[in-house]
Amino acid sequence: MTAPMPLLAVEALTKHFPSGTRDKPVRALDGVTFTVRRGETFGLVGESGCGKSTCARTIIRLYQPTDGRIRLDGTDITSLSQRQLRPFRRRMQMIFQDPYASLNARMTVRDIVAEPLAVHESALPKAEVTERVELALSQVGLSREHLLRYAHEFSGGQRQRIGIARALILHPELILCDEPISALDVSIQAQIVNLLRQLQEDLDLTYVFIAHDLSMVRYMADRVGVMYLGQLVEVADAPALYSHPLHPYTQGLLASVPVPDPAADLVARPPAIEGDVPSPIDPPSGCRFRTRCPLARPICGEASPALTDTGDGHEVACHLYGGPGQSPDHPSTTTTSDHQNHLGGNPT
Amino acid sequence: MTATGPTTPLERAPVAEAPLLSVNDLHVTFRGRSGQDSRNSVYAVRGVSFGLGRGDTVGLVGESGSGKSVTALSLVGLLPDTADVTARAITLADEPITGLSPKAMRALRGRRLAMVFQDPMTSLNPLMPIGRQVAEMLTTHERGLSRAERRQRVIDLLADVRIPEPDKRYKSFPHEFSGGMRQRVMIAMAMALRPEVLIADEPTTALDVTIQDQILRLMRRLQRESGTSILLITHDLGVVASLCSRVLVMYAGLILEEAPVDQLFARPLHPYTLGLLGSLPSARADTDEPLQSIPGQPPDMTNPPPGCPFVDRCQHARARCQTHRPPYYSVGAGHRSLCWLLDPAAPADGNPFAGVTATALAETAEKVSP
Repeated sequence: MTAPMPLLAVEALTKHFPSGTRDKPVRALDGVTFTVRRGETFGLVGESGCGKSTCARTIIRLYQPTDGRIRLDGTDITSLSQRQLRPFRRRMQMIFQDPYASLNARMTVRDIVAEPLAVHESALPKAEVTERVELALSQVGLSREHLLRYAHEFSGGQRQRIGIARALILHPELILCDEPISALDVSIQAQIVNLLRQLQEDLDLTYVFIAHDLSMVRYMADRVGVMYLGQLVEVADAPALYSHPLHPYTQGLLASVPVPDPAADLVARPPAIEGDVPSPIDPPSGCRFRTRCPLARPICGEASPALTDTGDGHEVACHLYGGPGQSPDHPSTTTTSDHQNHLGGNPT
Repeated sequence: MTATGPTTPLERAPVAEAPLLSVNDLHVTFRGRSGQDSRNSVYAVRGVSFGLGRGDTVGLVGESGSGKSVTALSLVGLLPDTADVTARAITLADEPITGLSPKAMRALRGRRLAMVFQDPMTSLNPLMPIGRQVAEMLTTHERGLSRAERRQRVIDLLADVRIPEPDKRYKSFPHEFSGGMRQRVMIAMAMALRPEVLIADEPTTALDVTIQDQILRLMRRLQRESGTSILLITHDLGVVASLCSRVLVMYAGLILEEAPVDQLFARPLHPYTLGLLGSLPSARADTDEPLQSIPGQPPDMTNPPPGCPFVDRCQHARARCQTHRPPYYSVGAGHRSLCWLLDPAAPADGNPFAGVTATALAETAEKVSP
């Protein structure tokens, strides 16, 4: 059985930043491993500072990884020079969170959207550039009349459309979406999410979709990775993750999402997770979640649990699932039912 | 619409007694750059009325630019000088709080009306230890405490919002606190004088979900202990459902719908509310269906439409909606909606609210606002 080659494979990817404290780097990303299949949406969720944006920026090599491997369609691009990287860069593009900061205020929409062409297809005649820009704009629901306007003339949702058009113009295979809807209003979020799904279908795109809105990720993603303090704690198909979260952190995270249903009494359920995220400069030994974990045991402080497949590709990094003989502690039967996370359940 | 008799919003509130905080026909206009030139003015709030009962938590929901924060800031008198605020009446415990001198307003703020803002980092002074900032609240409003008493009060307040080791944290600076802890400090300051009304403007928007969960629980507990009424401004319908008993849905400077929270989710009676609920992914189990996005975008508030402000994005809009602002229709206790579809004369064909019994509240009809 040979599985088709994943479009993106990330192996033990690590990115440390200097912290100002000597010898103690900020461990923003610490040994993250996952694969993204062609045509799927891989969701990456977690709280601020968990390393999800660093992960995307390291994959696209905006940051030079400290350690680990990045493979795009089988080719190791981890240590390619900027020049060698170019043909791969055009195959993966990025959409940023802040549609206000990510568009140059002094450039027209035409120039913003055409800029990747100037880098990657500089020989293209002007008429063709305009044609390509118009095509990209029409794909995101904007039109020719917007070409000569400036970013400030557009609303947040429209700016995000411009950012998407810029990402599309090189006909990429993989788009890294870093919180593409977080800065937008609810009704506009739905427009952008629908657009991204439509584009995926029309253009065979593969997405890494980063967001902290768990319900939006459930809606968008085929598979989801949950990050905590620079590490992946759980990876699973979206329906499985939301209906049977295995890691205590995933369970708590899902239980913290306020339910848009007044019948779900806030006080009736136990507080999801106490305390704050520890510093990534000095993360806890062993399992990094143990300081907030209601089920932590001595072993959690001693050894770092590895991401292990529990079956059906549902991977979890937790000592509760460490091996045979430990099933009585299996928390999915107890904690999940306590939390009653509303995002779960089988879609029917 | 012909007036058949005055019906104030107060009479429609589900609480029998007069509400603690009552806002009647609030308008806020930001004057344009060119002084008298009304073309540059922003009509941010265009006739907002509501009541907040004692011990009640009311959610004010809306998208950015809908006027919800401006409404809140006008209540505490924190709008800039470029804002023209007018209202028929704003009362706190039956006393008018409009037109107060800056001194009287300052006395009111903190002691009776407190506010928590979205971003706890910019609301705290980065150069002053946390404890001193909370103590400042007490020095301003509660003179006569000795230093030791004041320090103890602050430590108690910090402990009350579950800041770990409050006596040690007294000397910490804001940058040493996480976002959630800073928001706890802001809440401690707001609740320090046991105000009658707490206005919380997106208090958890900048926070992660697990921290948001903690803060919402904290607010709920403090409210139960102190009986403070809360006006909670948010864009998150999940937060509203968790904390509020009533909801005001605001759009383009107007309240489009007001309802008890269970009614709003079970039986929304404004196309905008329907659209908002439809754009929530968690409401849709079948993930292959596209989200019901609301097309278009909110109107330009320098030139708000004369009729219904939602008309350009509403799939049920008719000619009348373009030209005439609808009155409020009462559709049950504490439930009103600003929509022509509820008019008894509205066509039933394709009307999502066909069959709903509604009565127009005459007083609100045809209010002339720019």
